[in-house]
Amino acid sequence: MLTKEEQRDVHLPEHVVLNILCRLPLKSLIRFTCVSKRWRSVIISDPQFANSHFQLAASQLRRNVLISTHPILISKGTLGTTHTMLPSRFHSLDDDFSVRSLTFPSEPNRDIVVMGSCNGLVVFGKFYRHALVPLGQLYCDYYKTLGIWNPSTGFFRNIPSPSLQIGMIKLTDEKKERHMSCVYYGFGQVSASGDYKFVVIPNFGGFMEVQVFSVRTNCWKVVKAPYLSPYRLWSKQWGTYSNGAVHWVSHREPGIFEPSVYAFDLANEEFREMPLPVLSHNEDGMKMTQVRTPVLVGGCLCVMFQDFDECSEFWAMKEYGVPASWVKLFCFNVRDLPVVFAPFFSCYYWDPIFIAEDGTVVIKLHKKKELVRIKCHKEEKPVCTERYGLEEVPGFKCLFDASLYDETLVSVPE
Amino acid sequence: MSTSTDNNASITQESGPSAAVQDIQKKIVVRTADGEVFNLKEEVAMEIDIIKTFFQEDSISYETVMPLPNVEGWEMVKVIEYCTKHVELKHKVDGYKERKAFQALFVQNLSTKSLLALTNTANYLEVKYLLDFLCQAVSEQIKNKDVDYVRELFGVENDFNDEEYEQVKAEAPWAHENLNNDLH
Repeated sequence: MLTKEEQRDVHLPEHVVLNILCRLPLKSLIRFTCVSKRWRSVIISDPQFANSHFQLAASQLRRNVLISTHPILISKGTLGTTHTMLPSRFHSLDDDFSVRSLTFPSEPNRDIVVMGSCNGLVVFGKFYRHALVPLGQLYCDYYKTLGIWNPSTGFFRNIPSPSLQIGMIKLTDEKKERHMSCVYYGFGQVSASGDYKFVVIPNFGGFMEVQVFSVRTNCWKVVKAPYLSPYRLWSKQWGTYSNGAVHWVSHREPGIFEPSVYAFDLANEEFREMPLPVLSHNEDGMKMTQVRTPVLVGGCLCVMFQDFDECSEFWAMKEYGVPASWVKLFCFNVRDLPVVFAPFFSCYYWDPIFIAEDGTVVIKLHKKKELVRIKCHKEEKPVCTERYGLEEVPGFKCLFDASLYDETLVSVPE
Repeated sequence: MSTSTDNNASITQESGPSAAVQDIQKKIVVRTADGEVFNLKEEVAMEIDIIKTFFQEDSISYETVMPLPNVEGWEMVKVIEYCTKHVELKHKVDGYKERKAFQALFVQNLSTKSLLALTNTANYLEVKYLLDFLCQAVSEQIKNKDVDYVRELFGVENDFNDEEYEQVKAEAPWAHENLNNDLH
Protein backbone atom coordinates (compact mmCIF):
# COMPACT_ATOMS: atom_id res chain seq x y z
CA MET A 1 0.00 0.00 0.00
CA LEU A 2 1.08 3.58 -0.35
CA THR A 3 2.67 4.94 2.76
CA LYS A 4 2.10 8.55 3.65
CA GLU A 5 5.38 9.53 2.07
CA GLU A 6 4.81 7.53 -1.04
CA GLN A 7 1.34 8.92 -1.68
CA ARG A 8 1.84 10.84 -4.80
CA ASP A 9 -0.98 12.32 -6.73
CA VAL A 10 -2.49 9.83 -9.08
CA HIS A 11 -3.43 11.43 -12.33
CA LEU A 12 -6.05 9.36 -14.10
CA PRO A 13 -6.69 9.76 -17.81
CA GLU A 14 -10.10 11.31 -18.46
CA HIS A 15 -11.78 8.21 -19.86
CA VAL A 16 -11.00 6.38 -16.63
CA VAL A 17 -12.44 9.24 -14.57
CA LEU A 18 -15.58 9.06 -16.70
CA ASN A 19 -15.71 5.30 -16.21
CA ILE A 20 -15.86 5.98 -12.47
CA LEU A 21 -18.31 8.87 -12.71
CA CYS A 22 -20.87 7.18 -14.91
CA ARG A 23 -21.41 4.60 -12.17
CA LEU A 24 -22.51 7.21 -9.64
CA PRO A 25 -26.08 7.86 -8.59
CA LEU A 26 -27.67 11.04 -9.92
CA LYS A 27 -27.47 12.97 -6.66
CA SER A 28 -23.70 12.53 -6.52
CA LEU A 29 -23.34 13.54 -10.15
CA ILE A 30 -25.38 16.69 -9.72
CA ARG A 31 -23.23 17.59 -6.73
CA PHE A 32 -20.03 16.96 -8.68
CA THR A 33 -21.06 19.41 -11.38
CA CYS A 34 -19.54 21.88 -8.89
CA VAL A 35 -16.10 20.28 -9.04
CA SER A 36 -14.94 22.05 -12.20
CA LYS A 37 -16.24 23.49 -15.43
CA ARG A 38 -15.08 20.47 -17.37
CA TRP A 39 -16.87 18.06 -15.04
CA ARG A 40 -19.99 20.17 -15.20
CA SER A 41 -19.93 20.20 -18.97
CA VAL A 42 -19.51 16.44 -19.23
CA ILE A 43 -22.12 15.54 -16.64
CA ILE A 44 -24.82 17.85 -17.90
CA SER A 45 -24.20 18.29 -21.60
CA ASP A 46 -22.42 15.24 -22.92
CA PRO A 47 -24.96 12.88 -24.50
CA GLN A 48 -22.43 10.06 -24.65
CA PHE A 49 -21.82 10.31 -20.93
CA ALA A 50 -25.56 10.50 -20.26
CA ASN A 51 -26.02 7.39 -22.32
CA SER A 52 -23.25 5.45 -20.54
CA HIS A 53 -24.74 6.45 -17.21
CA PHE A 54 -28.20 5.42 -18.28
CA GLN A 55 -27.04 2.04 -19.61
CA LEU A 56 -25.10 1.25 -16.47
CA ALA A 57 -27.75 2.43 -14.09
CA ALA A 58 -30.73 0.97 -15.95
CA SER A 59 -31.26 -1.84 -13.52
CA GLN A 60 -31.20 0.32 -10.44
CA LEU A 61 -32.67 3.55 -11.66
CA ARG A 62 -34.17 5.66 -9.01
CA ARG A 63 -37.84 5.98 -9.66
CA ASN A 64 -39.18 9.28 -8.51
CA VAL A 65 -42.64 10.69 -8.65
CA LEU A 66 -43.13 14.03 -10.30
CA ILE A 67 -45.83 15.89 -8.47
CA SER A 68 -47.46 18.76 -10.31
CA THR A 69 -49.70 21.04 -8.36
CA HIS A 70 -51.97 23.62 -9.89
CA PRO A 71 -53.04 26.10 -7.27
CA ILE A 72 -56.18 28.04 -7.87
CA LEU A 73 -56.79 31.16 -5.89
CA ILE A 74 -60.40 31.51 -4.87
CA SER A 75 -61.39 35.05 -4.24
CA LYS A 76 -64.83 36.09 -3.21
CA GLY A 77 -65.50 39.56 -4.41
CA THR A 78 -68.52 41.73 -4.85
CA LEU A 79 -69.06 40.33 -8.34
CA GLY A 80 -68.97 36.74 -7.18
CA THR A 81 -66.29 34.14 -6.78
CA THR A 82 -63.37 34.21 -9.14
CA HIS A 83 -60.92 31.41 -9.69
CA THR A 84 -57.45 32.48 -10.68
CA MET A 85 -55.08 29.86 -11.95
CA LEU A 86 -51.62 30.30 -10.49
CA PRO A 87 -48.38 28.95 -11.89
CA SER A 88 -48.02 25.20 -11.62
CA ARG A 89 -45.48 23.97 -9.15
CA PHE A 90 -43.41 20.84 -9.44
CA HIS A 91 -41.87 18.64 -6.81
CA SER A 92 -39.92 15.44 -6.90
CA LEU A 93 -40.85 12.70 -4.48
CA ASP A 94 -37.97 10.43 -3.64
CA ASP A 95 -37.85 6.76 -2.90
CA ASP A 96 -37.96 7.52 0.80
CA PHE A 97 -40.78 9.99 0.27
CA SER A 98 -38.65 13.05 0.85
CA VAL A 99 -39.69 15.92 -1.36
CA ARG A 100 -37.70 18.59 -3.11
CA SER A 101 -38.97 21.34 -5.32
CA LEU A 102 -38.17 21.54 -9.02
CA THR A 103 -37.86 24.60 -11.20
CA PHE A 104 -40.12 24.49 -14.21
CA PRO A 105 -38.04 25.62 -17.16
CA SER A 106 -40.48 27.47 -19.35
CA GLU A 107 -43.20 30.04 -19.70
CA PRO A 108 -46.18 30.01 -19.64
CA ASN A 109 -46.44 27.81 -16.65
CA ARG A 110 -50.07 27.64 -15.71
CA ASP A 111 -52.07 24.46 -15.86
CA ILE A 112 -49.23 22.41 -17.25
CA VAL A 113 -50.09 18.79 -17.79
CA VAL A 114 -47.50 16.04 -17.81
CA MET A 115 -48.29 13.79 -20.74
CA GLY A 116 -45.57 11.19 -20.84
CA SER A 117 -42.34 10.06 -19.29
CA CYS A 118 -39.55 7.88 -20.58
CA ASN A 119 -35.89 7.46 -19.61
CA GLY A 120 -36.02 10.49 -17.38
CA LEU A 121 -37.54 12.75 -20.00
CA VAL A 122 -41.00 14.16 -19.36
CA VAL A 123 -43.34 15.62 -21.96
CA PHE A 124 -45.55 18.44 -20.78
CA GLY A 125 -48.03 20.75 -22.40
CA LYS A 126 -50.85 23.12 -21.95
CA PHE A 127 -54.04 21.73 -23.28
CA TYR A 128 -56.78 24.02 -24.44
CA ARG A 129 -60.08 22.26 -24.42
CA HIS A 130 -62.85 23.43 -26.66
CA ALA A 131 -61.52 26.80 -27.49
CA LEU A 132 -63.87 28.65 -29.71
CA VAL A 133 -62.65 29.26 -33.20
CA PRO A 134 -64.45 31.78 -35.36
CA LEU A 135 -66.22 29.14 -37.41
CA GLY A 136 -69.59 29.20 -35.80
CA GLN A 137 -70.24 26.21 -33.67
CA LEU A 138 -66.93 24.57 -34.13
CA TYR A 139 -64.93 23.76 -31.09
CA CYS A 140 -61.57 22.22 -31.03
CA ASP A 141 -59.04 20.85 -28.66
CA TYR A 142 -55.47 21.71 -29.21
CA TYR A 143 -52.13 21.72 -27.57
CA LYS A 144 -49.77 24.52 -27.09
CA THR A 145 -46.60 24.96 -25.15
CA LEU A 146 -45.43 21.43 -25.60
CA GLY A 147 -41.99 20.59 -24.40
CA ILE A 148 -39.58 17.93 -23.22
CA TRP A 149 -38.02 18.31 -19.80
CA ASN A 150 -35.56 16.35 -17.71
CA PRO A 151 -36.45 17.31 -14.13
CA SER A 152 -33.15 15.91 -12.84
CA THR A 153 -30.86 18.09 -14.92
CA GLY A 154 -33.14 20.93 -15.93
CA PHE A 155 -32.67 20.17 -19.62
CA PHE A 156 -35.57 21.49 -21.66
CA ARG A 157 -36.59 21.73 -25.28
CA ASN A 158 -39.73 22.99 -26.96
CA ILE A 159 -41.91 20.88 -29.20
CA PRO A 160 -43.75 22.65 -32.01
CA SER A 161 -47.54 22.45 -31.76
CA PRO A 162 -49.18 20.08 -34.17
CA SER A 163 -50.34 22.14 -37.10
CA LEU A 164 -53.58 20.25 -37.38
CA GLN A 165 -56.04 20.96 -34.72
CA ILE A 166 -56.97 17.83 -32.95
CA GLY A 167 -60.52 16.95 -33.46
CA MET A 168 -63.27 19.27 -34.30
CA ILE A 169 -66.47 18.58 -32.49
CA LYS A 170 -69.57 20.15 -33.72
CA LEU A 171 -71.97 20.87 -30.91
CA THR A 172 -75.44 21.59 -32.02
CA ASP A 173 -77.79 23.62 -29.94
CA GLU A 174 -79.97 20.67 -29.00
CA LYS A 175 -77.26 18.31 -28.12
CA LYS A 176 -75.04 20.03 -25.67
CA GLU A 177 -73.72 16.74 -24.43
CA ARG A 178 -70.52 15.80 -26.10
CA HIS A 179 -69.86 12.76 -28.13
CA MET A 180 -67.77 10.25 -26.36
CA SER A 181 -64.56 12.00 -26.94
CA CYS A 182 -61.25 11.99 -25.34
CA VAL A 183 -57.68 12.64 -26.26
CA TYR A 184 -55.01 10.11 -25.47
CA TYR A 185 -51.29 10.61 -25.49
CA GLY A 186 -48.08 8.71 -24.96
CA PHE A 187 -44.33 9.13 -25.12
CA GLY A 188 -41.52 6.69 -25.54
CA GLN A 189 -38.32 5.68 -27.20
CA VAL A 190 -38.01 3.78 -30.45
CA SER A 191 -35.65 0.98 -29.49
CA ALA A 192 -33.81 0.56 -32.78
CA SER A 193 -33.15 4.16 -33.69
CA GLY A 194 -32.99 5.75 -30.25
CA ASP A 195 -35.44 8.41 -31.41
CA TYR A 196 -38.17 9.58 -29.05
CA LYS A 197 -41.76 9.95 -30.21
CA PHE A 198 -44.78 11.61 -28.73
CA VAL A 199 -48.22 10.53 -29.89
CA VAL A 200 -51.58 12.20 -29.56
CA ILE A 201 -54.71 10.25 -30.39
CA PRO A 202 -58.11 11.81 -30.51
CA ASN A 203 -60.97 9.38 -30.27
CA PHE A 204 -64.16 10.96 -31.41
CA GLY A 205 -66.55 8.16 -32.10
CA GLY A 206 -65.37 8.27 -35.68
CA PHE A 207 -62.26 7.50 -37.60
CA MET A 208 -59.11 7.45 -35.61
CA GLU A 209 -55.92 9.18 -36.48
CA VAL A 210 -52.70 9.27 -34.58
CA GLN A 211 -50.59 12.38 -34.53
CA VAL A 212 -46.97 11.35 -34.20
CA PHE A 213 -44.15 13.68 -33.31
CA SER A 214 -40.57 12.56 -33.82
CA VAL A 215 -37.94 14.33 -31.76
CA ARG A 216 -35.30 13.57 -34.32
CA THR A 217 -37.11 15.12 -37.29
CA ASN A 218 -38.85 17.71 -35.12
CA CYS A 219 -41.99 17.13 -37.19
CA TRP A 220 -45.54 16.01 -36.70
CA LYS A 221 -47.24 13.61 -39.03
CA VAL A 222 -50.61 11.92 -39.13
CA VAL A 223 -50.98 8.18 -39.22
CA LYS A 224 -54.35 6.62 -39.89
CA ALA A 225 -55.25 3.92 -37.43
CA PRO A 226 -57.80 1.14 -37.66
CA TYR A 227 -60.84 1.77 -35.55
CA LEU A 228 -60.40 0.20 -32.18
CA SER A 229 -62.71 -0.48 -29.26
CA PRO A 230 -65.72 1.27 -30.72
CA TYR A 231 -67.58 3.52 -28.33
CA ARG A 232 -65.38 2.48 -25.52
CA LEU A 233 -63.09 4.85 -23.83
CA TRP A 234 -59.70 3.77 -22.72
CA SER A 235 -59.21 3.85 -19.00
CA LYS A 236 -56.43 6.38 -18.89
CA GLN A 237 -55.46 9.26 -21.10
CA TRP A 238 -51.80 8.61 -20.62
CA GLY A 239 -50.57 5.47 -22.36
CA THR A 240 -48.02 3.28 -20.64
CA TYR A 241 -44.69 2.95 -22.37
CA SER A 242 -43.01 -0.43 -22.47
CA ASN A 243 -40.86 -2.29 -24.97
CA GLY A 244 -40.97 0.35 -27.68
CA ALA A 245 -44.75 0.79 -27.66
CA VAL A 246 -47.39 2.79 -25.84
CA HIS A 247 -50.29 0.86 -24.31
CA TRP A 248 -53.89 1.45 -23.31
CA VAL A 249 -56.73 -0.75 -22.10
CA SER A 250 -60.43 -0.19 -21.73
CA HIS A 251 -62.74 -1.13 -18.93
CA ARG A 252 -64.05 -4.58 -18.71
CA GLU A 253 -67.62 -5.69 -18.34
CA PRO A 254 -67.71 -9.32 -17.33
CA GLY A 255 -69.82 -11.29 -19.75
CA ILE A 256 -70.29 -8.33 -22.05
CA PHE A 257 -66.97 -6.98 -23.12
CA GLU A 258 -63.47 -8.32 -22.69
CA PRO A 259 -60.88 -5.74 -23.62
CA SER A 260 -57.44 -6.30 -25.06
CA VAL A 261 -54.34 -4.26 -24.64
CA TYR A 262 -53.95 -1.82 -27.48
CA ALA A 263 -50.33 -1.15 -28.23
CA PHE A 264 -49.09 1.54 -30.57
CA ASP A 265 -45.67 0.53 -31.80
CA LEU A 266 -43.46 3.59 -32.06
CA ALA A 267 -41.15 2.11 -34.66
CA ASN A 268 -43.62 1.02 -37.32
CA GLU A 269 -46.34 3.39 -36.11
CA GLU A 270 -49.06 0.78 -36.09
CA PHE A 271 -51.50 -0.56 -33.58
CA ARG A 272 -51.63 -4.12 -32.44
CA GLU A 273 -53.78 -5.94 -29.94
CA MET A 274 -52.52 -8.15 -27.19
CA PRO A 275 -54.73 -10.32 -25.04
CA LEU A 276 -55.13 -9.65 -21.36
CA PRO A 277 -54.67 -12.44 -18.86
CA VAL A 278 -57.55 -14.79 -18.39
CA LEU A 279 -58.95 -14.40 -14.92
CA SER A 280 -59.65 -17.67 -13.28
CA HIS A 281 -62.38 -16.54 -10.94
CA ASN A 282 -64.40 -14.10 -12.91
CA GLU A 283 -67.49 -16.12 -12.33
CA ASP A 284 -67.14 -16.01 -8.62
CA GLY A 285 -68.70 -12.70 -7.97
CA MET A 286 -65.34 -10.98 -8.19
CA LYS A 287 -66.47 -8.45 -10.66
CA MET A 288 -63.35 -7.06 -12.16
CA THR A 289 -64.57 -3.98 -13.77
CA GLN A 290 -61.67 -1.64 -14.19
CA VAL A 291 -58.52 -2.42 -16.00
CA ARG A 292 -55.65 -0.03 -15.99
CA THR A 293 -52.02 -0.10 -16.95
CA PRO A 294 -49.90 1.18 -14.11
CA VAL A 295 -46.20 1.37 -14.66
CA LEU A 296 -44.14 -1.51 -13.43
CA VAL A 297 -40.71 -0.63 -12.16
CA GLY A 298 -38.55 -2.88 -14.27
CA GLY A 299 -40.16 -2.18 -17.61
CA CYS A 300 -42.60 -5.10 -17.96
CA LEU A 301 -46.08 -4.28 -19.09
CA CYS A 302 -48.44 -4.45 -16.18
CA VAL A 303 -52.21 -4.30 -15.76
CA MET A 304 -54.38 -3.86 -12.76
CA PHE A 305 -57.80 -5.41 -12.41
CA GLN A 306 -60.06 -3.76 -9.94
CA ASP A 307 -63.16 -4.72 -8.21
CA PHE A 308 -65.16 -1.59 -7.65
CA ASP A 309 -64.22 -0.89 -4.07
CA GLU A 310 -62.44 -3.90 -2.72
CA CYS A 311 -59.85 -6.00 -4.47
CA SER A 312 -57.13 -4.99 -6.86
CA GLU A 313 -54.93 -7.47 -8.67
CA PHE A 314 -51.69 -6.73 -10.44
CA TRP A 315 -50.50 -8.77 -13.37
CA ALA A 316 -47.32 -8.49 -15.40
CA MET A 317 -46.47 -9.77 -18.84
CA LYS A 318 -43.10 -11.24 -18.04
CA GLU A 319 -42.16 -11.86 -21.64
CA TYR A 320 -43.35 -9.06 -23.80
CA GLY A 321 -45.74 -10.18 -26.51
CA VAL A 322 -46.23 -13.64 -25.07
CA PRO A 323 -49.76 -13.90 -23.65
CA ALA A 324 -48.92 -17.09 -21.81
CA SER A 325 -46.38 -15.14 -19.77
CA TRP A 326 -48.98 -13.07 -17.89
CA VAL A 327 -48.32 -13.65 -14.22
CA LYS A 328 -50.32 -12.41 -11.27
CA LEU A 329 -47.86 -10.53 -9.10
CA PHE A 330 -49.90 -9.72 -6.05
CA CYS A 331 -53.21 -8.27 -4.92
CA PHE A 332 -54.66 -6.29 -2.07
CA ASN A 333 -57.99 -5.20 -0.71
CA VAL A 334 -58.57 -1.52 0.01
CA ARG A 335 -60.82 -2.49 2.89
CA ASP A 336 -57.73 -3.78 4.67
CA LEU A 337 -56.36 -0.29 4.86
CA PRO A 338 -59.20 1.84 6.19
CA VAL A 339 -56.84 4.41 7.65
CA VAL A 340 -55.48 5.11 4.22
CA PHE A 341 -58.54 4.91 2.03
CA ALA A 342 -61.64 5.56 4.09
CA PRO A 343 -64.12 6.79 3.12
CA PHE A 344 -62.91 6.85 -0.47
CA PHE A 345 -62.65 3.16 -1.21
CA SER A 346 -64.06 3.29 -4.69
CA CYS A 347 -61.56 2.82 -7.48
CA TYR A 348 -62.58 6.18 -8.92
CA TYR A 349 -60.91 7.91 -6.03
CA TRP A 350 -57.43 6.55 -6.46
CA ASP A 351 -54.85 5.48 -9.02
CA PRO A 352 -51.65 3.50 -8.80
CA ILE A 353 -48.62 5.48 -9.96
CA PHE A 354 -46.23 2.58 -10.11
CA ILE A 355 -45.71 -0.88 -8.74
CA ALA A 356 -42.69 -3.05 -8.06
CA GLU A 357 -42.44 -6.80 -8.12
CA ASP A 358 -41.86 -7.03 -4.41
CA GLY A 359 -45.42 -5.88 -3.76
CA THR A 360 -44.81 -2.17 -3.44
CA VAL A 361 -47.48 0.12 -4.86
CA VAL A 362 -47.42 3.89 -4.83
CA ILE A 363 -50.94 5.24 -4.99
CA LYS A 364 -52.37 8.68 -5.56
CA LEU A 365 -55.46 9.45 -3.54
CA HIS A 366 -57.37 12.08 -5.48
CA LYS A 367 -59.82 13.30 -2.88
CA LYS A 368 -57.46 13.15 0.03
CA LYS A 369 -54.68 14.71 -1.99
CA GLU A 370 -52.10 12.24 -0.81
CA LEU A 371 -49.52 9.87 -2.14
CA VAL A 372 -49.09 6.67 -0.21
CA ARG A 373 -46.80 3.70 -0.48
CA ILE A 374 -48.26 0.32 0.30
CA LYS A 375 -46.46 -2.93 0.74
CA CYS A 376 -48.53 -5.97 -0.12
CA HIS A 377 -47.80 -9.30 1.45
CA LYS A 378 -48.83 -12.74 0.34
CA GLU A 379 -50.36 -14.04 3.50
CA GLU A 380 -50.75 -10.93 5.59
CA LYS A 381 -52.60 -7.69 5.28
CA PRO A 382 -51.03 -4.89 3.29
CA VAL A 383 -49.17 -2.19 5.17
CA CYS A 384 -48.88 1.50 4.45
CA THR A 385 -45.23 2.43 4.72
CA GLU A 386 -45.15 6.05 3.62
CA ARG A 387 -47.53 8.94 3.21
CA TYR A 388 -47.16 12.35 1.67
CA GLY A 389 -49.97 14.86 1.79
CA LEU A 390 -50.36 18.11 -0.05
CA GLU A 391 -50.62 21.14 2.11
CA GLU A 392 -54.07 22.62 2.28
CA VAL A 393 -53.89 26.36 2.20
CA PRO A 394 -57.05 28.31 3.02
CA GLY A 395 -58.32 30.34 0.11
CA PHE A 396 -56.71 28.01 -2.37
CA LYS A 397 -57.92 24.99 -4.17
CA CYS A 398 -55.21 22.71 -5.41
CA LEU A 399 -55.36 20.24 -8.23
CA PHE A 400 -52.57 17.79 -8.37
CA ASP A 401 -51.11 15.14 -10.63
CA ALA A 402 -48.45 12.57 -10.09
CA SER A 403 -46.30 10.83 -12.67
CA LEU A 404 -43.44 8.40 -12.50
CA TYR A 405 -40.09 9.44 -13.92
CA ASP A 406 -36.51 8.15 -13.82
CA GLU A 407 -33.54 10.09 -12.57
CA THR A 408 -31.21 10.20 -15.54
CA LEU A 409 -28.97 12.65 -17.35
CA VAL A 410 -30.63 11.93 -20.67
CA SER A 411 -31.37 14.78 -23.04
CA VAL A 412 -32.24 15.11 -26.71
CA PRO A 413 -30.53 17.28 -29.29
CA GLU A 414 -31.79 20.85 -29.41
CA MET B 1 25.05 -42.64 -0.69
CA SER B 2 24.05 -39.25 -1.65
CA THR B 3 21.80 -38.47 -4.48
CA SER B 4 21.76 -34.96 -5.61
CA THR B 5 18.18 -34.13 -6.09
CA ASP B 6 17.47 -31.58 -8.67
CA ASN B 7 14.35 -29.97 -7.33
CA ASN B 8 13.43 -28.51 -10.63
CA ALA B 9 13.34 -31.91 -12.24
CA SER B 10 11.26 -33.69 -9.58
CA ILE B 11 7.67 -34.28 -10.48
CA THR B 12 5.30 -34.07 -7.57
CA GLN B 13 2.53 -36.58 -7.59
CA GLU B 14 -0.65 -34.57 -7.84
CA SER B 15 -3.97 -35.78 -9.04
CA GLY B 16 -5.63 -34.26 -12.03
CA PRO B 17 -4.42 -33.00 -15.35
CA SER B 18 -3.44 -29.62 -13.91
CA ALA B 19 -0.29 -31.07 -12.41
CA ALA B 20 1.17 -32.02 -15.76
CA VAL B 21 0.08 -28.72 -17.27
CA GLN B 22 1.62 -26.83 -14.40
CA ASP B 23 5.05 -28.18 -15.03
CA ILE B 24 4.92 -27.56 -18.74
CA GLN B 25 3.41 -24.08 -18.33
CA LYS B 26 5.80 -21.38 -19.25
CA LYS B 27 6.49 -18.47 -17.05
CA ILE B 28 6.65 -14.87 -18.08
CA VAL B 29 8.88 -12.53 -16.16
CA VAL B 30 8.19 -8.85 -15.57
CA ARG B 31 10.03 -6.21 -13.62
CA THR B 32 8.16 -3.36 -11.95
CA ALA B 33 9.32 0.21 -11.41
CA ASP B 34 10.80 -0.51 -7.99
CA GLY B 35 12.96 -3.31 -9.34
CA GLU B 36 10.83 -6.21 -8.15
CA VAL B 37 10.69 -9.21 -10.42
CA PHE B 38 7.58 -11.34 -10.85
CA ASN B 39 7.15 -14.76 -12.41
CA LEU B 40 3.70 -15.08 -13.89
CA LYS B 41 2.04 -18.22 -15.11
CA GLU B 42 1.44 -17.84 -18.83
CA GLU B 43 -2.34 -18.15 -18.55
CA VAL B 44 -2.44 -15.36 -15.97
CA ALA B 45 0.01 -13.19 -17.89
CA MET B 46 -2.14 -13.43 -21.00
CA GLU B 47 -5.02 -11.79 -19.09
CA ILE B 48 -2.94 -8.64 -19.06
CA ASP B 49 -3.26 -7.22 -22.55
CA ILE B 50 -0.15 -5.10 -22.50
CA ILE B 51 1.92 -8.19 -21.67
CA LYS B 52 0.04 -10.31 -24.17
CA THR B 53 0.70 -7.81 -26.94
CA PHE B 54 4.35 -7.48 -26.03
CA PHE B 55 5.08 -11.18 -26.24
CA GLN B 56 2.68 -12.35 -28.89
CA GLU B 57 2.72 -9.61 -31.44
CA ASP B 58 6.43 -9.35 -31.85
CA SER B 59 7.11 -12.98 -30.95
CA ILE B 60 9.50 -11.88 -28.30
CA SER B 61 11.07 -14.79 -26.51
CA TYR B 62 9.71 -15.59 -23.07
CA GLU B 63 13.26 -15.37 -21.83
CA THR B 64 13.01 -11.60 -22.01
CA VAL B 65 12.12 -9.79 -18.82
CA MET B 66 9.43 -7.26 -19.64
CA PRO B 67 9.88 -3.91 -17.93
CA LEU B 68 6.80 -2.25 -16.44
CA PRO B 69 8.08 1.18 -15.45
CA ASN B 70 4.65 2.53 -14.54
CA VAL B 71 3.75 -0.22 -12.11
CA GLU B 72 4.74 -0.53 -8.47
CA GLY B 73 5.49 -3.89 -6.89
CA TRP B 74 2.49 -3.88 -4.56
CA GLU B 75 0.21 -3.07 -7.48
CA MET B 76 1.55 -6.02 -9.47
CA VAL B 77 0.84 -8.29 -6.52
CA LYS B 78 -2.79 -7.17 -6.49
CA VAL B 79 -3.20 -7.47 -10.25
CA ILE B 80 -1.79 -10.98 -10.25
CA GLU B 81 -4.07 -11.86 -7.35
CA TYR B 82 -7.16 -10.65 -9.25
CA CYS B 83 -6.27 -12.18 -12.60
CA THR B 84 -5.38 -15.51 -11.04
CA LYS B 85 -8.77 -15.63 -9.36
CA HIS B 86 -10.45 -14.60 -12.57
CA VAL B 87 -8.80 -17.44 -14.49
CA GLU B 88 -9.72 -19.89 -11.75
CA LEU B 89 -13.38 -18.83 -11.79
CA LYS B 90 -13.57 -19.01 -15.58
CA HIS B 91 -13.73 -22.76 -15.35
CA LYS B 92 -16.26 -22.81 -12.53
CA VAL B 93 -19.90 -23.10 -13.34
CA ASP B 94 -21.40 -21.31 -10.38
CA GLY B 95 -18.74 -18.91 -9.20
CA TYR B 96 -20.95 -15.90 -8.51
CA LYS B 97 -20.90 -16.01 -4.71
CA GLU B 98 -17.24 -16.84 -4.60
CA ARG B 99 -16.44 -13.98 -6.92
CA LYS B 100 -18.43 -11.54 -4.81
CA ALA B 101 -16.74 -12.68 -1.61
CA PHE B 102 -13.33 -12.42 -3.23
CA GLN B 103 -14.07 -8.93 -4.57
CA ALA B 104 -15.15 -7.71 -1.14
CA LEU B 105 -11.93 -8.94 0.44
CA PHE B 106 -9.81 -7.63 -2.41
CA VAL B 107 -10.67 -3.99 -1.74
CA GLN B 108 -11.10 -4.29 1.99
CA ASN B 109 -7.86 -2.79 3.18
CA LEU B 110 -7.17 -0.42 0.35
CA SER B 111 -7.38 3.31 0.95
CA THR B 112 -9.24 5.30 -1.67
CA LYS B 113 -5.96 6.74 -2.88
CA SER B 114 -4.52 3.25 -3.25
CA LEU B 115 -7.64 2.16 -5.11
CA LEU B 116 -7.13 5.04 -7.47
CA ALA B 117 -3.49 4.11 -8.06
CA LEU B 118 -4.52 0.54 -8.73
CA THR B 119 -7.22 1.73 -11.14
CA ASN B 120 -4.61 3.70 -13.03
CA THR B 121 -2.42 0.62 -13.21
CA ALA B 122 -5.27 -1.60 -14.40
CA ASN B 123 -5.85 0.91 -17.17
CA TYR B 124 -2.17 1.00 -18.12
CA LEU B 125 -1.85 -2.78 -18.06
CA GLU B 126 -5.08 -3.08 -20.06
CA VAL B 127 -7.07 -5.52 -17.96
CA LYS B 128 -10.62 -4.44 -18.77
CA TYR B 129 -12.59 -6.45 -16.25
CA LEU B 130 -10.27 -5.38 -13.44
CA LEU B 131 -10.52 -1.75 -14.56
CA ASP B 132 -14.33 -1.87 -14.57
CA PHE B 133 -14.42 -3.53 -11.17
CA LEU B 134 -12.05 -0.97 -9.66
CA CYS B 135 -13.98 1.95 -11.18
CA GLN B 136 -17.12 0.57 -9.59
CA ALA B 137 -15.31 0.24 -6.26
CA VAL B 138 -14.05 3.82 -6.41
CA SER B 139 -17.52 5.11 -7.28
CA GLU B 140 -18.92 3.32 -4.21
CA GLN B 141 -16.37 5.04 -2.04
CA ILE B 142 -16.86 8.55 -3.36
CA LYS B 143 -20.60 8.68 -3.88
CA ASN B 144 -21.34 10.37 -0.56
CA LYS B 145 -18.31 12.62 -0.46
CA ASP B 146 -18.33 16.36 -0.95
CA VAL B 147 -16.91 18.49 -3.72
CA ASP B 148 -13.66 19.37 -1.93
CA TYR B 149 -12.86 15.76 -1.20
CA VAL B 150 -13.36 14.76 -4.81
CA ARG B 151 -11.26 17.66 -6.12
CA GLU B 152 -8.42 16.66 -3.84
CA LEU B 153 -8.70 12.98 -4.71
CA PHE B 154 -8.65 13.45 -8.46
CA GLY B 155 -6.30 16.42 -8.41
CA VAL B 156 -8.84 18.62 -10.18
CA GLU B 157 -8.45 22.36 -9.98
CA ASN B 158 -11.46 24.48 -9.17
CA ASP B 159 -11.91 26.84 -12.09
CA PHE B 160 -15.11 28.41 -10.79
CA ASN B 161 -14.76 31.74 -9.09
CA ASP B 162 -16.61 32.16 -5.80
CA GLU B 163 -19.66 33.68 -7.43
CA GLU B 164 -19.92 31.01 -10.12
CA TYR B 165 -19.51 28.27 -7.56
CA GLU B 166 -22.30 29.61 -5.37
CA GLN B 167 -24.49 29.86 -8.44
CA VAL B 168 -24.04 26.28 -9.56
CA LYS B 169 -24.37 25.04 -6.02
CA ALA B 170 -27.62 26.95 -5.60
CA GLU B 171 -29.12 25.13 -8.57
CA ALA B 172 -29.42 21.96 -6.58
CA PRO B 173 -28.85 22.48 -2.86
CA TRP B 174 -30.46 19.11 -2.11
CA ALA B 175 -27.53 17.36 -3.78
CA HIS B 176 -25.13 18.75 -1.19
CA GLU B 177 -26.94 17.41 1.84
CA ASN B 178 -26.42 14.26 3.89
CA LEU B 179 -22.84 13.65 2.97
CA ASN B 180 -20.23 11.53 4.63
CA ASN B 181 -16.67 12.73 4.58
CA ASP B 182 -15.01 10.13 6.77
CA LEU B 183 -11.41 9.69 5.87
CA HIS B 184 -10.76 6.57 3.96
